[in-house]
Amino acid sequence: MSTTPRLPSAIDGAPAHIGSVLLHAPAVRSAFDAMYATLLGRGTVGMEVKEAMRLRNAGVSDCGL
Amino acid sequence: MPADQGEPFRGASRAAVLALRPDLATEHARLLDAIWEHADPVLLELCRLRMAKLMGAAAALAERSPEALAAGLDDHLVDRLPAWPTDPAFTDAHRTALAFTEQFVVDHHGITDDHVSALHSALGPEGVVVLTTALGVWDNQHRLDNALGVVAP
Repeated sequence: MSTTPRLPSAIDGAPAHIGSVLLHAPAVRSAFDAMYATLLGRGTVGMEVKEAMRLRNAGVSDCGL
Repeated sequence: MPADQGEPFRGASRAAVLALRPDLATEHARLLDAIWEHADPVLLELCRLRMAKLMGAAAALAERSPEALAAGLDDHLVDRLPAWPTDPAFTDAHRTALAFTEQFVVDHHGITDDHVSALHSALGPEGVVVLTTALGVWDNQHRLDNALGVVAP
């Protein structure tokens, strides 16, 4: 797993992090954020269940973020 | 959708399953639209199909992106996908993206600086973000299809 960003920031002078890197494709990032907010914020599955699944998925995938 | 209470989704279409959450289906479709609009659709479709093959996603293998077909994709090229490393029908950009796709599927922790550097050289930073986002979305879609027994788009 890389410990340093492999893409530069899309914002001049800003550090490379998930938000600034994804801005290389702003329309895709915006659409992803809208989908993700709908997925997490609404529906019949409770937030505590979704968060437990998200954290379990991150653990299994070894995602430090 | 079939009314089998034991496996309520088996045999359904993906559209019918997603329609259970219409607001989510709408945002999911918008995300896919944004992906297809912001990278070479033929390259994207080759990667989507290669991923579907490796993941055994039959429903996804049977569909074709309208954007890729409009951009000139034909099934002769699709048929040659297993030979992408050496087949001259594939461009260097195709090969770079397909190598990245296969590594993403097999072991995403095995993606190296060289993989990303090569992809960056071939597609630029926007292309890297679009393809990587697309792989995440398709990975999810293929798993949903397989887990729920979806048989058609």
